[in-house]
Formats: sequence, structure tokens, C-alpha cells
Amino acid sequence: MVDLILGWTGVVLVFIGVFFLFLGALGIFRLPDLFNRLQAGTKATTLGVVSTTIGVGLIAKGWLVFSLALAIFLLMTNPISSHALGRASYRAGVKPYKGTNPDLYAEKVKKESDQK
Amino acid sequence: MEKAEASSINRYFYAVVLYFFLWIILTYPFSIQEWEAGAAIAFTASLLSYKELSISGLKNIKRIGILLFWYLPVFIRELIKANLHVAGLVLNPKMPIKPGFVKIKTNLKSPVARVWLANSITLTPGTLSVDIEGQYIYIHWITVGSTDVEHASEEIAGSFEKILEVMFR
Repeated sequence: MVDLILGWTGVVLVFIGVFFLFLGALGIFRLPDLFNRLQAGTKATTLGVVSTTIGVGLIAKGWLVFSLALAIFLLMTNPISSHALGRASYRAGVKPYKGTNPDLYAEKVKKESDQK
Repeated sequence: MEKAEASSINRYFYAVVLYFFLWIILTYPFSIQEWEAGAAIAFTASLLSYKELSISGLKNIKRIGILLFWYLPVFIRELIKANLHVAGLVLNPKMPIKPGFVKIKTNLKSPVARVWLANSITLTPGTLSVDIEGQYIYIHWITVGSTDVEHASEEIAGSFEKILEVMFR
């Protein structure tokens, strides 16, 4: 009985994860510029992948401990990679979407390039 | 940052505990033989690497406790909120976005705490931390609420900053 409930919880979690992964993909397709796309990509894939991983762990109980460890590593590393992508692409000259207002970061980047 | 460094022995034992725990998780179907090998390896590996692993030693275990029982629930709630927010934006045919780069100020002192804050901000609704400069974090905000530094800080970082302040005391 407990097994059955856990199994179905796992299935539900996997479906939630897949749904958010789909939304992330849709966001990458629809949003206007790199930074907005990064946002959709990071958040949706984080919850999507974490939820899917834990769901799989609940369905196949032998893997539960590994799937939890995986989820923790993903939670810790996912935002770092998106931060690195955002920062590097801004500095490499990727222009934000024209409706971006205010752009306080531009001042800092400009100041730094003037100093060089 | 200003905190005194923990003693070597303290840092060494923190490394042992952490490595041993990781070993137990990674060799999951528990067995005593695995644990014996793990203990031997944890003691040796810590000897080689405890200096690089941590500055504050066993104090980190208390931090992990706070992390699990206080930070994590708040974090999961924010993560779900963030996802619903993105879902709302993406599924709305008009896509009501109003992006901008804002600057917030943090009172956290230690670099590790700032990293945690920046990471948490990335996974909260509509915000992505792009860069950090001293006390200021630059943030891409998908629906800008306020451009004022103080006000934006409160709105974006408020809930996490309190927890992290206690955690990294």
C-alpha cells in the first residue's frame, strides 16, 4: 500500500517536472532576449529536473538516495551556471531587449571598460 | 570574513565527517565493509585536503542544520512561486514583461554568504543575479517593481537575507 502511494506520488512528480520543463522550453522560444530566456531556462529547468529526479527516485526506491543527492547538486550548481552565462554574454556585448529599463548594469560595465 | 579561523584539528574533523557522509550516500546499499573502507579513505583524504575545504570547520554542521530546516522550506516555496510566475508569463499571449537591470545592496559580510544570496535570488520569482561588486548585486529583473536600491533590496532579498545572516554568523 505504502509502495503504491509512493509510486503514484513519484509519477505525479515526474509529470509536474515534465510540465515545467515544457514551459521552460516554451519560454526560451517565446521570450525576446537572452537574459529573459535565461530566466525561463534556469527556473523552469531547476524545478523540472529536481521534481523529475525525485519522482524517479520514488518510483524506483533503490535510487532514492542517489536521486536526492543529484537534486541537491543540481540546486547548487544550476544558478551558478546561469549567472556565469548572463555575465559573460553581457560583457561580450549581447544587447538586452530594447524595452529593458532601467539598465543600471550598463553603467558599471562602461565604467570598467573606461578604466582599462 | 572577519571571523577567526577555526583550528586545524577542527577543520580536519569537519572534512572527515563530510567525506564520510558523502561516501555513505554514494555507496548507498549500506554495508559495514563499505563503511570501514569509507572511514579509512575519509581520514586519509581529509589529511590532504582539509585546508582547502573550509575555514570555519565544524561550525558548518550547524549551518547545514539551519540550511535544511529553515532555509530549505522557504527556498522551495520561492522556487515554486518562481516557476508559476514564469508559467504565467510564458502562457500569457501578451507576455507582460518589463525587464530591467537593477542594483541591490546586501549587508552580508562573508563571501560565502553572498554567493548563497546570489544563488537564492536567481531561483526566486523573476530575478537573475548577473554580477556582484562589493556590497552590490546586479540583477536582471523580468518585471521591474522598483528601481530604488533600498526598496528593491527589501523586495528581492529580504526573506533570504535574514536567514543567511543567522546562518553565517
